[in-house]
Amino acid sequence: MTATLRVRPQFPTHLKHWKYEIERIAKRLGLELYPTDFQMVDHEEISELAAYQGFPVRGHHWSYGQESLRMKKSYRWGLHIIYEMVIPTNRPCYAYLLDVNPDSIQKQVMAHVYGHNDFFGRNIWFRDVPGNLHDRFGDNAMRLEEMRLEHGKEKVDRFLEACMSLDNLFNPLDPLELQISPPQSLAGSLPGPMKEKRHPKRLISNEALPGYMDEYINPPEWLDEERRRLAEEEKVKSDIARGVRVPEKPIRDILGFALVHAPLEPWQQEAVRMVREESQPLWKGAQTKFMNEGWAALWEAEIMAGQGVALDSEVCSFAQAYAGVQGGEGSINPYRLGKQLWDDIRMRWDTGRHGRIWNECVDGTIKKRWEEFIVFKSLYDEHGGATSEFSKEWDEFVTLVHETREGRGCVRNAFFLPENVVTEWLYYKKSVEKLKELQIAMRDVLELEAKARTSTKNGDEEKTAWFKRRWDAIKISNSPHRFWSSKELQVEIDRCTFYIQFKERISKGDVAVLQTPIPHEWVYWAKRHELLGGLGKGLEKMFEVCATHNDASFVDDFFTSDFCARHGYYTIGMGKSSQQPFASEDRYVISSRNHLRVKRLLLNMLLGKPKILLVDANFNNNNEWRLIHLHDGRDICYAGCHICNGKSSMKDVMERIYIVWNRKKAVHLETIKTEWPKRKPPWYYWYPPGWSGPEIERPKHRWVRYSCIDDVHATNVLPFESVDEDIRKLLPHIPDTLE
Amino acid sequence: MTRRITQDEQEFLDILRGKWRTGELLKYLQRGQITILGPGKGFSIPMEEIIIPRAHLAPIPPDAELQETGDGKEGDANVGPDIGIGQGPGKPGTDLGPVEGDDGEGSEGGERSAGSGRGGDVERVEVPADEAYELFAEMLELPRIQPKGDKSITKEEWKYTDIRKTGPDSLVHRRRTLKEALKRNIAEGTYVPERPRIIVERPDKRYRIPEVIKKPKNNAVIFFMMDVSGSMTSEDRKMVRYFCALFEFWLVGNFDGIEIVWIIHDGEADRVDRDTFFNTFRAGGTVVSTAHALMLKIIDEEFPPANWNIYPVYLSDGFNFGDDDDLCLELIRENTLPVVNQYTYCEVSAEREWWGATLAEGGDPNSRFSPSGSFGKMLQDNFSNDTRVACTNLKKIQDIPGALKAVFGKGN
Repeated sequence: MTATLRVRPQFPTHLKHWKYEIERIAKRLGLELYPTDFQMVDHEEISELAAYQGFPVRGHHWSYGQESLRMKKSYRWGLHIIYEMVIPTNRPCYAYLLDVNPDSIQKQVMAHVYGHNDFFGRNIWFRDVPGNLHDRFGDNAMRLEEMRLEHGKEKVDRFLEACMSLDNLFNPLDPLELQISPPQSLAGSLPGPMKEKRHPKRLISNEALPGYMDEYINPPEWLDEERRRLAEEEKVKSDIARGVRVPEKPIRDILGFALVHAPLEPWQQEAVRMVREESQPLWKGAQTKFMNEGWAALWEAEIMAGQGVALDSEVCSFAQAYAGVQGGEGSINPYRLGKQLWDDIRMRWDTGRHGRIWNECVDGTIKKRWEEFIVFKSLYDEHGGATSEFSKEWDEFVTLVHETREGRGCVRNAFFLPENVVTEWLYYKKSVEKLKELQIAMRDVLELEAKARTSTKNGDEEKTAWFKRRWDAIKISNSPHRFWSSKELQVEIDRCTFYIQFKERISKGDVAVLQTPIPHEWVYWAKRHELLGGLGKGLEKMFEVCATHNDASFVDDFFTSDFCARHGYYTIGMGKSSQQPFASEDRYVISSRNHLRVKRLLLNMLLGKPKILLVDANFNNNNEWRLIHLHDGRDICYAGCHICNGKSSMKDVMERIYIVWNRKKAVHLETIKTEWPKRKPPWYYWYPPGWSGPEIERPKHRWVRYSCIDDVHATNVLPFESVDEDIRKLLPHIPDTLE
Repeated sequence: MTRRITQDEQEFLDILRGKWRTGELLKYLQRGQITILGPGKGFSIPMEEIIIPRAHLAPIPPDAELQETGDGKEGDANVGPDIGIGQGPGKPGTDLGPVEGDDGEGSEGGERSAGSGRGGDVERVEVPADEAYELFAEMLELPRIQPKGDKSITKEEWKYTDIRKTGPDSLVHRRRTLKEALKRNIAEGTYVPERPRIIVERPDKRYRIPEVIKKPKNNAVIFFMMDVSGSMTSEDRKMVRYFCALFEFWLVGNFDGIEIVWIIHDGEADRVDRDTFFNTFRAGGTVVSTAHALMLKIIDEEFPPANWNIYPVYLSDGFNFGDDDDLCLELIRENTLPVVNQYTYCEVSAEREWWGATLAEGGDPNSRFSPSGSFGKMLQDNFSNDTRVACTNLKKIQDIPGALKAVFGKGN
C-alpha cells in the first residue's frame, strides 16, 4: 500500500545556490513566498505526479493509471513536456523539476515556481485550499483502503465513482464547510404551542383622521396581499420544521446535501465526504488557471531576463523555451493569454489608461500621443494651467523624452518603448529623493555583503556558493533593504545620478529645450476629466487584481477591445471561407474579431460548468429529488454530444445521483431544451431589393423534465406555465420563444 | 522498483482487457483500428479513454442557424457558431484550414474520441503476441488450425544432452571429466586442498553424445492473387490491404513458418512483391485463369504440397472474361483443390449503384454477390458444399470480421 522508498537524485548544490539567489530577487521584487522544497524527478515520475494532480499519496484508482499512461505516451511522442509541477501546499510548497533539463532551464523553471508560490498565498481563491492537503489526502487514502478491504473493492469503487461524477456540482463561491442544516428529527414535527398569528402592519397616522381615510391609507387589497404573504411564510417555516420542505433554500452542493440528508451507510458517507473534500479545493484552484500561469510567466520573465539571472550564454535558450511554452499563433494558450493580460494591466495602470478619461476618449490625436498627454494632465493637475512651474516641468519633460529618443538618455533608445515614457518621467521626477534612499540602502547592503564575505569559506567552493553565504547573512539581517545586491543598487544609483545631472544641465541651460505647443484638445480633455489614482501604479494594481479576481472576472474586466485588437484575437467558426465560397466541405474560418464575441466565447469556456440547483428533496411528497438546471442560453448535454461522444451525458450523471441519494426514488431534472434550426446555404439569404428578406428561423425552446429511476429514463415536455413562480425567479434568462 | 502508480496502471489495463473481451475488440476491428505490429508480434489497438461521466454543457451544433443579437453583426463572416479562439492576422472570412485534419476517407465517420481526435494513434495499447492470438480467436470464434497429416518439414535437431564414457576427443565434456577425476583423487587420497592438483586419467573422461530430436515444423505458404484491372477504388485497396494483413497475422500465429507469394493479373498474371501488389493500377481485360495457372506453376516448382500447407486467396470484384469461367473451374477443381488446405475467394465490391443491377433491382436475393460478380456466383454454385472452399465478400470495412469468420471458421 505504501510506496516503495525511492531515492531521488539529489538536488544539485549549485542549483540550490541559484535557488537562494532567485528567492532573493523574487523577494526584492515584492513577492511573498512560502518556503519551497524542490525535488528532481525523471519524466516518468513527473507524468505520474501529474496524473495524481500533484499528490502521489492519493487513494488508488484506475483513473490515475489511465492518465499516467496517456501522459507517458504523450511524452514519448514528443507532444507534451511538463517542465515542472507545483503543489499548492504551504508548509512547504513542493515543486518538482524534470531532471534532464539543463541548468538554464532549471533556473527559469524555479523562477516560474516562485511566481506560482506567491500566487497561492495571495489569491483569495486559494485561501480556502487547506495548506496541508498532503496529510488530508494521505489519511483519505488509508481510509479508502480499509473500506475496500472491509466492504469489497467492487462495491466501494462503484460508489466512489458515482460520487466522483458529482464532484463538479457545487458553488465555488461557497466555503468548504458544510452549511446545510441536518434533517429535523421527528420529535420536532409535532405542532408547537400556538403562536400568535401575525397581522399585517397597518399604517397609523399621527393625527386623528376620519374613518373613511383608512381605506386610502391601508387599502384592503394591500392588506389581503400582506395576509397572504404572511400565511405563506408561516407555512414554509412549519414545512421546514416538519421536514417536509427540504432543503430550505435551493442549494448547489449536491454532495454536501447528500452527506447530510441521504440515508447512506457510514462507509458511503465517508466516501462522499472524501470525494467532496478532495475535489472541491482543487476545483477552486482551477478557477484561476489563466491568472496563475500568466502570473508565474510574468515573474519568470522578470526575474530571468530583467535582473540578470540568465547568463549571457543562456539568454537564447531561455527565450526559446519561453516561446515554446507561450506557444505560437493559431491556438489559445492559457500561459500566453494570462501573461498578455497582466502586461496589459501593468501598462495601463502605469500610463493611466483607465477610468473615464481613457474610456470615453475617442479623439485620435490624444490617443496617439497618450503618454505625453497623460503626463501633461498630471502636471496640469499639480501646477494649474499657465503657471511658470508648469512650463518649467513641461519643458523638462519634453526635453527628456527628446534626448532619450536621440540616444543621449539614460535608457538605451532601442529599449525606449512608448510606454516607458511615463515610468521614466516619474523616475526622473523623484530622482533626488530616491538617490538619498538608495545611498542609505547601499550602506546597509555593503555591510551585509561584507559580513557574508567574511563568513567561513571552504577551500574549493563553487562560484555559486556566494549566494548561499549572502542568503545566510540576509537571514540574520533586519534591514528593509536586505534583498538588494550592491550591483543592482549601483545600477539604480547610476540612473538617479544621471537624471540629477540632466536636471542640472537643463537648469544651467546646456541642453536645448524644445518648445512644444500643447494642442487645445488636450487642455479641454484634461479639464473635463480626472486622473484617478495617479500614474505609475501598474505594479500596485497587478498585486491588487491578483488578490481578488478569478479567471472569469479577470477576463471580464480586462479583456478590452483595445487589447483584443492589439493582440489579434479572433473567433473561429465552421462554414465557407471567403477564399473558397463554393467549397463542398465546411472549413474553419475566422468568424469575427469583435472583442465582445471573443470575450463571450472565452467566458463560456471558463464558466463552462452547468449550474444545477436542488430545489426539493421531497418532491411529490415522495422523497424524490427535483433539480433545476439554470439555463443561461446553453443546453445541458443530456444524451451525449460531440465533445464527450456520448460517454459523459447527463443521463449517466442522473443515474449516479440516484445511487448517491440512495432512497430508491426518482430523480428529476428540469431545464430548457433548445432546438436549433439548421443553417441555410448562403443563397437563401439573398433577396432582391424591395423585399424585406426571408424569414429567419428562430430556435425553439421547451421546458422539459428528465426523470430517472435506476437505469430507466423518461423525458416529459411541460408547458412553461406549469412552472411555479419561485423557480421562474431563479432562471437567469428566459427566452421568449419558450412555450 | 515499483512505483505507487503501477498498481493503478495495472488496474486500468485490466479493466481495458475486460472490455476487450466483451466486444470492444470487435468494434476496433470493424473500424480498421487494429494495427498488426509485424510478424511474430501482436497488434496494437487504440486506447479508448474511460471517462467518468460529469455534467457538462452541450455546445451549439456547428451547423446551427445562429442569430447574433447585435454585437458584431456587421463585418463578420456568415459561418456557424463560434467554436474556438485564435490569434493572428486575417480578416473575418479568412480560411483557416480543413475541418477534418487527416484523411477524410477511410476512417468511417472520422471518429473523434474525446481528447484524441487527431492523434488517435498516439494512445495505443500494445497487446503481446500470445494474448493477441487468444483475443483474436475468442473474438471471432475461430478454431485453431490443425496441421494436416504429415505435411510438415521435419527439421532434425541434434541436441547433445547425454553422456557416455567413450567417444571422440572433440566431444569431451570437460567439466564432468574433471569432476570424475576429482572424485577419484579424493578417494585415493592424492588430493591436497592446499595445493589443488587434479590428475586426469583415461577412465575419467566423459563424452557428449547427440540425440536426434525430430521437430516438426509446420510451414504454410499464402498465395495472394488480385485482379488489378482497374475496377477497384482506393478505398477498396485499403480494405484489401487490411484483410491481407489480418489473414497473414492469423496464419503466422498458427504455423511456424510463413511464405507469401504475391500475384497480380489482368489479362496476364505476374508474380510481384508486396508493394507492387498493393499499388498497381492497370486497365485491361480480366482473365482469371492466368493467375491460377501461374500459382499452380509456382507450386510445382517451389512449394511441394507434401511439405507445405497452401492457402490461395483470390481477391477480385467478380468480373471475368466470359469463356474463361470453365477453364477456371477446371483449374480449381482438378488441380488446386486437391493440394491446398483451403481455397479462399474474397469479392471486394464497394457500393456501386451506378454500375449494373443491384440487389434491389431484382438481383438474386440469396446470392451474396452483386449480380455483376459472375465469378463469385460461379464459385458459389459449384462449390457450396465443398468445405475446402470459402467465399466471402467485402463491401465496407465493417464487413471484415464477418469475412474473417467465414474464411477461417472452418479451421482449415
